[in-house]
Formats: sequence, structure tokens, C-alpha cells
Amino acid sequence: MKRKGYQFVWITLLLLLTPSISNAMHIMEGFLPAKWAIFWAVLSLPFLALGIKKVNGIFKGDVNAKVLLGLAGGFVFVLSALKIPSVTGSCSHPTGVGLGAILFGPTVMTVIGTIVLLFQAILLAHGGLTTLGANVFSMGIIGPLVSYGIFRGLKNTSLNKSFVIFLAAAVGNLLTYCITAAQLALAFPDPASGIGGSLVKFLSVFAVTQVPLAIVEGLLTAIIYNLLMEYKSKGVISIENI
Amino acid sequence: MLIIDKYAYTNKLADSNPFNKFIIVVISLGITTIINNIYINLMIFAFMIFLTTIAAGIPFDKYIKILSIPMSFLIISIITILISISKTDIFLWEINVFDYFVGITRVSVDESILLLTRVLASITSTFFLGLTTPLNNLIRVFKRLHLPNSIIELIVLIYRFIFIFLGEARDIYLTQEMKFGYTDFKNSLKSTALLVRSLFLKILLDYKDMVIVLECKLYDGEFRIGD
Amino acid sequence: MIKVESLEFKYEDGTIALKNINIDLDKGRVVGVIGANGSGKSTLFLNILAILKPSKGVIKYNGEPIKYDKKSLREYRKEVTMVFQDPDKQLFYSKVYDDMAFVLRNLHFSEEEIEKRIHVILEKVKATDLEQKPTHFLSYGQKKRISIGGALIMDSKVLLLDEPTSGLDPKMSKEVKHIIKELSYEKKLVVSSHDMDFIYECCDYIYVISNGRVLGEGKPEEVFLKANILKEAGLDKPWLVKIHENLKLPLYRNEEDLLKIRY
Repeated sequence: MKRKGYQFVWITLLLLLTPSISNAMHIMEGFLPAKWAIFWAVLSLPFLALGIKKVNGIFKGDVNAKVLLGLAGGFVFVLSALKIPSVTGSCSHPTGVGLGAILFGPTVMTVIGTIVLLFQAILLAHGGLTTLGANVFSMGIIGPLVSYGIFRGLKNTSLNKSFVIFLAAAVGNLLTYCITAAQLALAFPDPASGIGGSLVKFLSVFAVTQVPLAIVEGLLTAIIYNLLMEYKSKGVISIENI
Repeated sequence: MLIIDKYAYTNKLADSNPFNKFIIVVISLGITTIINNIYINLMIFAFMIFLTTIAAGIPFDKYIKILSIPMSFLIISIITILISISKTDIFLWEINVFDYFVGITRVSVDESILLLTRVLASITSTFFLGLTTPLNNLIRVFKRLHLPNSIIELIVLIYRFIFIFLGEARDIYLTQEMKFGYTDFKNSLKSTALLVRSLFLKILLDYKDMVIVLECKLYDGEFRIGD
Repeated sequence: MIKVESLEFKYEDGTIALKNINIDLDKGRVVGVIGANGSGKSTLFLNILAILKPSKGVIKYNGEPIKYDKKSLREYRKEVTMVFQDPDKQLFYSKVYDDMAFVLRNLHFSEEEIEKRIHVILEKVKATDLEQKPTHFLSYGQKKRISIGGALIMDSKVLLLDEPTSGLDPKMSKEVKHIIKELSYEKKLVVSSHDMDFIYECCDYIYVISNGRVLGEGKPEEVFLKANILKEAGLDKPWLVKIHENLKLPLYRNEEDLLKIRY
């Protein structure tokens, strides 16, 4: 029973996490002044601490879980490093995978997300160390929470499963970009229209790429989920039904 | 594929003390984000370029390429910050659109210049760390900083496994490309989904085998690293 | 050392992977286990490693049946270990030194002792210059040698090797063969491979597995002459055997002997 449980971890992890992390709307290094860099880091800390606590608990129960989470982390990072052209011609990153019953919650994903974001900053020049807190908050905490919430909320309704997953992934993605826009707006209020005006500015400018990306990634996640269920029905892999 | 990782191991400063490099970068990042002085930022920017290209010997053209990775975000954001819309004329330069003025204010120009210098100083600092410090050495720094053990172990494992997935992803992608998998949007979507599924399954399959290997290696729950 | 008696292994879904397997690893210094894909070789190895538990029959180590409690398994694994086919699945660290040290650190060896042993083992697998290298910069052949090293460092009495030369270029293949020959003086080796020439050259006793059963066994010179067994098992003959049979030359044990005589 425990063994199956861990398969759920990463399935969930991957659904919740990859749409947000792979979609490259990272705030770049040095963009936020210290005040805001620290603010978001401090805001993210309790979530991260909770995640670490949960992860330690998992490791105590199953020594092999470390390897599983490690593999999942490698997977998420590589997804975010791949570049596939999208509809608008700009590069996007593939994302999203199947779902599993949610046993450990999104806080574990925050841990993986933080590590992947750290690697992205150092190895891929994506995001930054000073902006780690802000990026973790949008991509490692809010994004996954929203995807998780939508999925959980809608999974037992009569809505088509693929559609639910599309929604969870796409909306999680959109929320991530909205949070990022808000983070930028707070740090750079418009001289004429204040924070609100700045928010509108950033939202509209980035909408051009982010909205199509969110849709594409929602589609992708749904397709991948279906592919996995295909394998499941053929008995190639055994993940419990969601 | 991870060109920054490659340079980290092959540059002239690869074997030098990682703590020193780490501290230099932390201090720089602190200065750029806290002090917010344009001239200090520019000095740090120049200093980091010197350290990276001359001291560490990273080829200048490759370095420029790496620097340009986050540039689109920077340019778009700065333009967004520069431009404001207002009913009253508070601008240095503006155009008239219906009832509104669309233009650039003094405040936003100052802000943008500061932002630009801060970003340039910061990214060159972080890139200096990434380009000259192998992650294996950086992990030792994290250990010294007393990051939680489980985090460090995950960092060690994830770093190693990244390359397994990169190799697999590349192989699958090339095979798909040869089969015209990425000729149009619809194909690309389907091919990408298949690729991701394969990688996802690889997690499962590799996990199964690795558990057996770990048993043989008398794994007791900890992935220790030396000092 | 290791005797497999009347081993039967059934998977969870009921498929019988191994039936009535009797193997005596004392019959040779380097024992070869050959068979087509799906014949049950891997399952057999996993049973010998005590990763899998037989459904029927018993595996004896030094005369005593293997005990499957945690403590006994731990002691058993110190004596009997394996090099798996895929080197990537056996490397957990990004630095060769750390990966080689993994087992010894699990056994709480001192860092001085660990350093000494790593130097010795790296020399054995001809990889001394790779000690501080990042794992992801290694070629496939180098990774294979490091994964052999990672198993050697345990100083076990028995070493199983699954397809040690697969995917290697001729030069690398030769080096691995050489390493295995040297190792055969120190430990008991059990090798599985699809390379019949390699098996013919390196092994002194062979078991042929097909459909979960032992189809035949014996010295290489005997087994490889039994055409019907090889055919049923889906295996080919080593080239030295082929030229013996088709050109009516004497049966040579290795390439050097053949070339010596001709010139």
C-alpha cells in the first residue's frame, strides 16, 4: 500500500508543479530591490518549512522515497529546459502530466519546486537567486495550490476528466503569471496610476505570450494524462485511478 | 546542453575555493539590491565581467550569448515600466490619444535606469557563480551553511538525475524529429506529449531498478557526501 | 559457495519464470549463464542476490540456506553483489569519488580507508584519472567501468555481472574482458552475456537457460558443441567453435592459440 502511495506523490507533484515551473515567466536576477526580494522570500518560507517537514516524514517512512523525489525533480527540471515552439511562434516549455490520488499535498511540491528553481537560476540563467523567494511564491506555491484546488474541487463532478485537467493546468498557469505581474506591480508602481495601473500594464503586456501558453500547456497536460491512462488500461503501469 | 554547467568545470577558476566565490557573489547581490546606487552597480557590472571573462577565461562571445537569455524579459519589462497613461500631463515626452496622454515620466526614467544597472550587476554576479563554480563544490557550500539534510540530499540526487533525463529527452526528440514529429503545431503537441509521457514513465522504471541497486549497495537511508 | 537447488520462481500474477533450476557455482571460477532474452536469466540473478525470494526450492550460501531477515540479508549483500547492465542506474552522485565512496560510507568506513580503497579499485578498473570527474561527463565505457568499480569496492566474495560488455566498443570490450580475467583470481564471478565469444573466452563453466529451465551445462568446449541445445535456447556459436566445425580445425580455446599455431 505504501508503495502505491509514493507513486501518487510524484504524479500529483507533476501535475501541480510542472505547469507552473515549466512556463518560463521567471522574474530575472536583480529585478526586485531588497525590500521586495526579502518580502517574498519571507512569505514563502513557512510553506517551504512545512514542505520540508512533510518530506522528512515521508523519508522516515520509506527510505526509497528520496530517489523517487529525486527522479521527479530531474524530470521537472528537464521539462522546463526543453523548448518547443508554440502557436504564437515564441518558445514555450512542455509541461503537465497525469494525476494521482493526492496523499501528501502541494507542500512537498514546494520543496521540489524550490530546488528546481535554484537549479534554473544557476544552470539555465532563468530567474535568479535574489528573486528566488518571489518565483517560489508564484510558481512553487500559488500555482500548484490553484491547480490542486481546481482539480480536487472538480474531480468528482460530472465534468469530463480531460477538461478538468486542462482547466487545472491552464488556470494554475494563468494564476502564476497574474501573481508575477502583481509582484512586479508592487515593486514598480506606475507614477500616474499607482500599483493598480502598473498591474494592468504588466498583465496586458505579458498576456500576449502567457495566455496562449497557458492554453497550450493545459492542452498538453490533458493529452499527457490521457496517454498515461492509456498505458494504465493496457496494464503497462499501475497507478491508482483518480 | 547545459553549457553553463560545462564551463563551471572547465574554466580557469573551477578549482578555486567555492566559499570565496560564493561570498563575493552574495555580497555583490546584497549591494546591488540594498544600496541602489547606479554607479556602484555599474562598477560591480564591470568587475564581474572582468572576473568572468578574464580571470575565469570564459569566451566573450559565449558569455554574451548567455547574458542575452533573460534579455527579452528585461527589455519588455523596462518598456512597460517606462510608459504610463494619464489624463494630466506629467510627462517628459508624450503622445496624445483621445483624452489621455501616453508617455514617459521623469520618475520612470530614473527608475528604469536604476533597474537596468541593478539587473546588469546582479545577473553578471550570479552568472559568475554559475559559470565558475561546479555544482558539486557549491553543494559543499550549502552543507556548510547548514541547509537541511533532506534538501541537500535532494539537490545531490536531482543534479545527478537531470543528466539522465536530458539524455533520454534528447534521444526521443531527435527520433521524433526525424519522423517529422515537429512539422506543425498539432504534430508538435502530440510529439511533445509522447515525449513527456516517456520521461514520466522513465521515473517509474528507473525507480524500480534503482531500488534494487540501492539494496545491493547497502543503502541505509542517507546519501552522504564527504567534506 | 552458492548452490541453487530446485529453484522455482513465480511472479505475483502467476507466471512461472524459473522451474526446477539447479546451479552449482563451485563448478567454475567464472560461471557463465547464457540464454535468450526472456529466458529467465535476470530473474535467476535477482534470486541469487536474494532480492527475490524463491517460491520453491532453496539457495544455499556456504552450505546454509539464505535467511531473508534484514540483518542476514545485509551480511549476505556484503559477500554477494552485482554489476547491473545499465551504468546510469548505478550512479547516484555527480562526482565519481562520491559514487565510489557510497557503499563504504554506508558501512561507516573512515574517510582515510575510503580514499585508500578508491585508489586501489580505480586502478583495477583502469580509471584512475576519472576520480574527480563529474559523472555526466563520462563516456558510456567509462561509466561502465566506474559501475564495476562501485561494486568491486565492497570487496565481496561473489560478483555477478549482467552484460558487462554490452554497448562497448571493441577496445573498451577488451579492457573489460581483461579486468574480468584479473578479477577471476580474486573472486567468484558469474557472468551473463549475449556475446558468445566473450563467454567462450572468459568462462570455465556454463549454464544454458531457456524458458526458465536449465537446458544444458558444462565446460564451454562441451556446451558450445551441442548444436541442438544452442538452437533451442536461441543462441549462436562462438566463432572459434564455428571454424572448428566448418573448417575442420582443432577447437581452440582462444584467439591467441589459433593465431599462434597458424604462424
